[in-house]
Amino acid sequence: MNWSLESAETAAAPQRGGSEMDEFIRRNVMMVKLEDMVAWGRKNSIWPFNFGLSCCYVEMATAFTSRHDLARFGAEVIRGTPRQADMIVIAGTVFRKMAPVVKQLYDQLLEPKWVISMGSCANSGGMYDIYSVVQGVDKFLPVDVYVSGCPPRPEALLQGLLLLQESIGNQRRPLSWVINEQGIIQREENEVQRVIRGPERIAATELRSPDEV
Amino acid sequence: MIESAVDVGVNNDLRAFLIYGFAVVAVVGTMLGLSFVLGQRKNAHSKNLPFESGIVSVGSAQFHTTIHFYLPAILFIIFDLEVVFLFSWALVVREAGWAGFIEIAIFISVLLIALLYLARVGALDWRTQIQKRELRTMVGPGGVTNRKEFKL
Amino acid sequence: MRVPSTVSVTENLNAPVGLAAVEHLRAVFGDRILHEQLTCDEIPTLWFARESIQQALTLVREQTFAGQRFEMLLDLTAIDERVRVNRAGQPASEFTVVYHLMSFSGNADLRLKVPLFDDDLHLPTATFLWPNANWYEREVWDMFGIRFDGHPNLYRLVLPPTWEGHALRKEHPARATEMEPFTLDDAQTDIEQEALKFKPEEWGMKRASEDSEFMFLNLGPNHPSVHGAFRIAVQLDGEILVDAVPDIGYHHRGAEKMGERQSWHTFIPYTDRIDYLGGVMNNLPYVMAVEKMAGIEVPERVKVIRVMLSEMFRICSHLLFYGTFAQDVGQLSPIFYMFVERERIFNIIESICGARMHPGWFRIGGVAQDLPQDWEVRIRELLDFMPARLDEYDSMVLNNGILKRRTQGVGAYTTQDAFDWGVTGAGLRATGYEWDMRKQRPYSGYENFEFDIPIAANGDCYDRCAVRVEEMRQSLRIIKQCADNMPSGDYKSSHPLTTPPRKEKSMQDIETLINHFLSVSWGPVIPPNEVSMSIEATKGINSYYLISDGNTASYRTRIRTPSFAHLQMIPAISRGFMVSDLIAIIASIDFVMADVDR
Repeated sequence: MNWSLESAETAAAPQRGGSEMDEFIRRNVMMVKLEDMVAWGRKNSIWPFNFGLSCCYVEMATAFTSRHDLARFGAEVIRGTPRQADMIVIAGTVFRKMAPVVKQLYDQLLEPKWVISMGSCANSGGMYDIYSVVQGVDKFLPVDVYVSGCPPRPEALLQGLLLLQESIGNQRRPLSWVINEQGIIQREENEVQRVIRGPERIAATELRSPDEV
Repeated sequence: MIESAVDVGVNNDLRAFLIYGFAVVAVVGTMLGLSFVLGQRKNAHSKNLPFESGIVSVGSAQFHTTIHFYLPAILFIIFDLEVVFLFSWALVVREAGWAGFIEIAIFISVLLIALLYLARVGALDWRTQIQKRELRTMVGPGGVTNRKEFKL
Repeated sequence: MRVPSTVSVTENLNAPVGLAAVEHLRAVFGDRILHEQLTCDEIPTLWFARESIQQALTLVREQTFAGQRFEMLLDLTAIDERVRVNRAGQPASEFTVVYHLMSFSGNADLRLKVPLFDDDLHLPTATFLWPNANWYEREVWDMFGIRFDGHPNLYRLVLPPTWEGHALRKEHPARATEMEPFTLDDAQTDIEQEALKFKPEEWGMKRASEDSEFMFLNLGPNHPSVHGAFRIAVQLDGEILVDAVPDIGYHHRGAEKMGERQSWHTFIPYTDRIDYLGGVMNNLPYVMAVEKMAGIEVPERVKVIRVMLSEMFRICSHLLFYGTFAQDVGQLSPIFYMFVERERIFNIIESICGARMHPGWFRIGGVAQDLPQDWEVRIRELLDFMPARLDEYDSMVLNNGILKRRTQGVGAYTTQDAFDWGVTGAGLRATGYEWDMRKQRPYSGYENFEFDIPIAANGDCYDRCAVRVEEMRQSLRIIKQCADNMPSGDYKSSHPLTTPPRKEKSMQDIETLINHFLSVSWGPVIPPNEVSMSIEATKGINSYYLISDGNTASYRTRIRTPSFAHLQMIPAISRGFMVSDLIAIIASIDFVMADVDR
């Protein structure tokens, strides 16, 4: 008996006039463009670089451990060298002494590469408006996703990674430097989360009291 | 008649070899060629520097290493050549028979005695002086010494 | 307004070693002691001129007073006194260098101060007496511009080598927004990297010996084993470490300068992030120091709550140390188990304090809120499952043969080495010296708790780990006693300088409301005084030296952190070992970079 698992909404009804062979091919064979396939592969296997500066690194490490498990989202292997990594998470405060080191590591990451800025200090200097701290890593690196918090919860970092994956899924890069036009083409604009989630947040009127566990 | 059979055999082998060689070159060439052509070309300022934890390195990677490493290397060569001889004996085990077995046993035992001598004389001990000294001067089995039982 | 008591120094001392030391110094120096200062923490503070300080330090170092000695230089720092108003009786000074010495055998402190002027800013070095003065003096040079004559390598320590100016001087801008906006283009990167490059000749290292050439490697700021932004430049002969130079400053957040800009109340979150694994325990010495200056006595309930949360954070910090120690030695699984425990403890902390890692929950005069209802339930669960897990980790990690062979006999030092290098905490207890600030100088109600201090015999990596594991068990014991005997009462004191005052009162009473508004927006006005408060933090002795000038902000906040001294010691204990041993040594020291660079 042939059976398959589908949800009721997405399961397509069998088409009139088709043979069993057509039905079989429709259920089991997927036709897709090469660049879509490559984008799907790229977004589901982002390998992070083992880079942590400060307190946010502890929360990033917590996101890698068993309770929150970043590996389920494809960030399976954390690489010690930038040559084998795809993504650098600037976890923690960016110090002036450390800035050239971060820049060098970013340069040594191979294409394609992405940057997640984690924590208030990396986003904008955070509460450290002080002589030795760079006010945000975007002063010298291009950032893809900003994860806010001090430190952000591991779940927030997971959300940041998912947003990055969505964004990468919409990117198309040229197949070769010989043919195609160069540069990254973003199919859909990245949405600002503040705008999307604003109505939901404002609608919350019942807040939990801190007197109960 | 026999010469032509041999000729045919040689030709067949030669042809197979040439096809194989051509396939190797084709596969390697495709791999290198595709990776040369695919993807983007981006150049960053420090991209070609060797990775040394984010700082520029001091000194070159080619330098005179200490002779310390030479000893295990040469010992390895000696025992590696022993294995080569063992391989060649292994091909003709049946033909060599019992006499061959006894000879190879003598060969192995001579080298085994040499290995035991090396182990005893300390040539295989890779530890430094300070590591050995620290191990000798340790007190007790290690760990907490004033552990008291308590009930939680 | 509380004025310093007019009782003389001798009557405030209760330790014979301090008394004997001051008597001896008076006898030897007589008039050359410029002043004996009274501070509210009752530590004898003597002022010496630059010409006599070398002799005074040598005397204190080498002499025995009442059968005991001052073993350790706890802290060496400086104060920029140019803008200070309330310094009656003290000798004229623009920059004061402060030496804080500690006697373990006699359980007392001694402070020596030297006045200096801006046009003549130099002093003889103390590195010949105490090796750990090396980095402290480099930091004072970096932050104030005070030169130390005779120092072997007086380079910048926490600021980048290309920095101009000295950060803690009062004319140096504090905010990044008061300085030039930061840019980093390729040329600038090259300049900075060239300045960071390691130059062996500066440290007296040779490029080659007669047998082989040496390799200089950066165990750089980005390396999984160095636990943060820390760099060691090692000189290798094959695999054997010949010498090493640690380089810090990649984590300098200017917490001391921040203390001069933030009010007494708003500085509390910055203290959280000094030792980012210690959470609320970092608030404790700061808040206790301010309370001492303000004259606030906290209720019993506050003390027990503070102890309970501090011990929970001690367990969290030690669990992370345990996991990363095993990971660095090669066991990749235990860290995953230990993080699960940390999550459970964070759950409890979050339900009490509201945040996981940096709660910032202690306040001047108490804690932020009362404990929630049913707080005991989760703590009892923790006490139920935790001991069995610790036993399981024992068999997984501490009894593992490979871990023992990699860590026993590695990086061992004696108690005298520990005193010379300023090592405190578990690193000192692992050498066999039983000393814990919670027992020897109980604070915040620790005298009412029953717990033991674990010690070990060898002082190597394995012993340090074993001592910390046992400390976790003792912390569980303390938490159980807290949960069983939590006193009822207020969660905040009623003293007027408590910031912020209790909300119920400020809703009823206009005076309290005004006080609340002023102390939270402008800051509480703490009377002028100096205080130094130390606790046994997760890593060692964490001490806050606060100077108040009668303002809403601190005049000088000096944070003496334990990990700063521990890192200095790495070359001394790892010469002659291999690179893999160096990794085990670094893992066993249990430092946190924010603790080192502040």
